[in-house]
Amino acid sequence: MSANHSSVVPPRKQRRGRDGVFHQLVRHKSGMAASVVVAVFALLAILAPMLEPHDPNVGEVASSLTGPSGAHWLGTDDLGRDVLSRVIDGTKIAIVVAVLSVVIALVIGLAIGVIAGYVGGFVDMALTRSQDVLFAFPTLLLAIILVAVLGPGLINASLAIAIVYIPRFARIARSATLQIKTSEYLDAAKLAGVHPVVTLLRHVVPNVLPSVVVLGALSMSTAQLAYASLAFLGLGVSPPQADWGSMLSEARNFITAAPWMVFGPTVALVALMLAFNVLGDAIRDVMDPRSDKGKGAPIPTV
Amino acid sequence: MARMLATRFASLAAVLLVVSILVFLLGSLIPGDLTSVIVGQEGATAAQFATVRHRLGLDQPLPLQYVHWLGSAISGDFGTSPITGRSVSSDLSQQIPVSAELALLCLFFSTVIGVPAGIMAAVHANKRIDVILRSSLLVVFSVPTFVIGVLVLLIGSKIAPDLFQVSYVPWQEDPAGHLRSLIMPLLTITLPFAAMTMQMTRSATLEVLHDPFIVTARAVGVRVQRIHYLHALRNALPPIITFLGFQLGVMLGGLIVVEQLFSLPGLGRGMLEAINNRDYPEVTAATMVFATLFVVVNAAIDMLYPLLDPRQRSR
Repeated sequence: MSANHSSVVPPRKQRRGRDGVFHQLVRHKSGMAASVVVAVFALLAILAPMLEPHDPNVGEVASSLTGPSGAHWLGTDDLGRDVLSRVIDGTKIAIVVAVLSVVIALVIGLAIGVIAGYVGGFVDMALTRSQDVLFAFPTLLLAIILVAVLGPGLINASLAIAIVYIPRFARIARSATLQIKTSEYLDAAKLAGVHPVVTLLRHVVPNVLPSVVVLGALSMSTAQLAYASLAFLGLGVSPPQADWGSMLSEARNFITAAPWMVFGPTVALVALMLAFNVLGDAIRDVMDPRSDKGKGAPIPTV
Repeated sequence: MARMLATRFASLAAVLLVVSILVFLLGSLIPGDLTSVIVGQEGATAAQFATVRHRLGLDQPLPLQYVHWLGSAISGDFGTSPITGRSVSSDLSQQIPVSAELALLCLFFSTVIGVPAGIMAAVHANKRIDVILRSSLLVVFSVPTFVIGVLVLLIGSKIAPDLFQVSYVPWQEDPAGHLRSLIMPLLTITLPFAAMTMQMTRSATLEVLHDPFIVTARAVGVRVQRIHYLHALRNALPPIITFLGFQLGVMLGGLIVVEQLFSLPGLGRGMLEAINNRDYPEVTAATMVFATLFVVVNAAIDMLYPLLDPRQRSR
């Protein structure tokens, strides 16, 4: 990026109390690159019907398992469906699940953590202990069991991943709440007779939000990955719908006859995951001044 | 020390009890009633349903069912699978060794590869070898286990089609074939785990590498290898082991994926199959085994900590 980059972006009003997060993110080189990649995937997801060269769910049996060609850039699968179209069609699933599961986990985890930290006492103990139980399960195992109970599908898989992630958000929200609980402005609010619920919403939540949002940004890539693993194991969306995880599971069965089936979903999956990962790191760098830039350990994969 | 162990054991038992309640509840929530699986939905009378429900104890209140289930589960009896008609424990006793072998081999190889590589990376921090090791690690980190597995299959089937055997061969039938059939699954699950071990060893070793005792040892003239592999590693060990325990969950997840991918008759594949069949005694049993293992290993690592780090003992 050029040095006069700031002139490209028109100056905007800084958001209250965020110290120009947007500005900083624009200046963050890798963060900007990752945002572009995520934006491209988002466009792919939105414009999918226009961009897909063929119908992703209808194939010609005559042209099944043919290699890459002018008509089918990434070849066709066992049912003669165009792999490129299916990769494009699978984009929306990947993005929707990543966003949906993280948003659900963030909202519920924030609520649990703030209430536990603010109310304290028995409520805190009950909420914290019940969260601890979820930590007793390996994450993918818990997600599998939850999908088994809820049934497969896009919403249920997102919900399962969200439940797995809730304790992390609750834990961070709770410790952030405990940190500001003793601050003087909360005492002042109490003395002024502000209703506790109003205090929570107006004074506690906005102060807890940044750390939770950072975790949310960092969780996008693992959430996407968790879903892909579920889909690979056959616990994702129902069959005709294209999905990168299940496409790879199909590709596995034709690995010697049609190795090209591996390429598309793998590249899309890894590219989006890396982009989410780098973007999450960038958002953490920008929003959390305490973090050392670039020193964070890589997020373990599922 | 004894008192600390006692409280640890007590809390371990409490956690396991709560986990068992949760697993039982989840199991009973799995859609599709066991009785309809057994009786068959068509042409069954209400009386037949009632008989089967009574025989399975499903007409009792849930807490009572739980107590029965827990009682027999502790003695190793997880009931009979309505799908296969076999006892769940006999299925488990065939599946667990397959998974355990894979997990232990993975642990062994990732330690043997990851720890020396991590020390090497720490000693040569930011030099070429470190950069190469860490960037290759980043690649492995960024790729989910099942993608690594598919790629291993793809490359394996190309370069050594006869060496890489896809179907699982039991040890009793053909030991050499058994080992060959494990090469690809093992490679798949060990790569990410070795990468994690290396990353953790690197940062833990870097922490202690500039401590005064290392400088002293060097000044006294102790051999460099001895310093790195004995003194530095010894002090870097507690965080490495804690981290490995934490990553056990990741490995168990990887195990499920790898067993499914390479059709290994292990616990993870058994569980997935049971989920597809709505075979809930099998599902709850497998989940309970996985969760118990996870909880017990992490508790054991907690108890191991004072042994590894004498400074913890006085507390």
